Amino acid sequence: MSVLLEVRGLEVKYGAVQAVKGVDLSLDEGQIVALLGANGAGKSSIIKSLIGVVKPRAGTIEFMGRQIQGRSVHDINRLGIGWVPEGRQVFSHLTVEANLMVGAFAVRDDALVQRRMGEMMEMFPILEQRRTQLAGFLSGGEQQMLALARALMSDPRLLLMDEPSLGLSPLIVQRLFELVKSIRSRGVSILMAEQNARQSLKVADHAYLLEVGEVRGSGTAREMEAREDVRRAYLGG
Amino acid sequence: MTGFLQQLLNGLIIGSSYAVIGLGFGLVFGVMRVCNVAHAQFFVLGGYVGFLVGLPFVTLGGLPIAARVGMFVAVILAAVLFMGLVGLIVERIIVRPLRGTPVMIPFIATAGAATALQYSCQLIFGADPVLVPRFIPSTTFYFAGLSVTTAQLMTLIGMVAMLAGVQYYVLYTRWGQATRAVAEWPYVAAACGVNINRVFQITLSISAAAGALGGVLVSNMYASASPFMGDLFGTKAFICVLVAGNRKIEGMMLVGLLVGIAEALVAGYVSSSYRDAVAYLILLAILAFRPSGLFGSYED
Repeated sequence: MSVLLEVRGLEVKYGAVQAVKGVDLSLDEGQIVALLGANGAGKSSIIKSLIGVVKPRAGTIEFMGRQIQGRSVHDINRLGIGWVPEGRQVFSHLTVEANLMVGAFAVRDDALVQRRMGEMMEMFPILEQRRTQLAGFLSGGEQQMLALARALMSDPRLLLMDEPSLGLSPLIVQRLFELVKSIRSRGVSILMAEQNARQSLKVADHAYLLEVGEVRGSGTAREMEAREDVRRAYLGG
Repeated sequence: MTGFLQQLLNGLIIGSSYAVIGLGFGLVFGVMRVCNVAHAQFFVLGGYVGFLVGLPFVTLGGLPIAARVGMFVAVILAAVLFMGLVGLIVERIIVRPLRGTPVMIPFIATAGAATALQYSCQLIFGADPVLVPRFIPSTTFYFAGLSVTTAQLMTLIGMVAMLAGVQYYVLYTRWGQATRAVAEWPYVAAACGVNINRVFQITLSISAAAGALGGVLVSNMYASASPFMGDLFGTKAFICVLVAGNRKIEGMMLVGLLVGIAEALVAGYVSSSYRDAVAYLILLAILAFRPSGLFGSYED
């Protein structure tokens, strides 16, 4: 498997606060990688710097062999990275269909957009039912499906997911992680920042444990599950 | 009853100009979160561009009415295109470098640009109003006891066309949808491949073009243009946006129309001295009960 994403010495600062301190991580093509850690561990800051929303203070981000740090957000999307932000952030005044159309903004071929729209409706049947409704009127779970489908409309090679299970009921969370697996089977690699360690380790191939902006450990999902500190802090002993 | 309907029609005409100017102001406010104080000067410049471009043609006598209407439309297009270009420049050199700064910084910068534009107009054209020659000879039409002049009719048609055009753009075009997405979650829209800078450029251009259209039509309706004509119209348009909130463009249009109608009714049934106070009273009432505006704000 070839390396898709390679991060070296990433540092992120907000004013005087250093949120990410020299993080190294990598992700191979076809992998699901989980970033584990408590609130304030730096997971979201890493995700935001990968998509370009936050400009890293130092370090390099290489995606498919190209350095992408410092590029604009839309440029990074066009290189093949999709983003499912924390809190869904659907466009509440647009219909479900219009949200998906915006998701495919960079795609110029109308037939291709329609084909992807059909694929998304098949993958997320609830969106087909809600197609003409305003996104702001969907439930939290439906909005998360929409955010996921919207990110997939640009057909990314790498999908960044920031706290996808936050605020969702256990049943929806279970369905969400099943979807994560099926997205991977479509050839999309996934980097997921998630507090729900139990669920994310079930689907991930590899995981990084973050604490106060630093990587405190990494390994395969099975290795991470076996670690005493991970079990104690994140898996309920 | 006829008197009431006449006031309603007058109010609709003046309200449509508040709606168009307010729409331009509100678009930038809603999408870019920039309170563009220079917007009122786009309106003034539009009036002067219309005056300058149209002047040589108007002096040509003996033109048939169809040619004069065509000429007027061409002048409007020239003003709209020119001010669209000015909008691009303002976005690039004033607004973009200040993006991400606290809201007061672009407010002050655009206030500076407004002052510079206003005094440039004064320097070039003088402080006194200039007489804007009518492109189309003034005729009054009567219908069911109501009267409307050619200039009023042109104003209403032009403003409604602009409102409909912007509404179509925002609701049904690819870039319009992207604009609404950027208004709500700019970085998420960017992560969908939307170039935010391009959206901001287009938005400020449309805004400036709307101001210009308002300027050409209003200066044609009153047959005059002055460097200070933007003060009252700009303030009222700003009030309409505050009353509507920045969430819904159609809300801003509706409030513009309603303020115009309320003004006309007060002028007709109370006293024309109180006309200009109407917008402020509506603003005070709305701020007291719905501080985010009638149709809500993205900051809610």
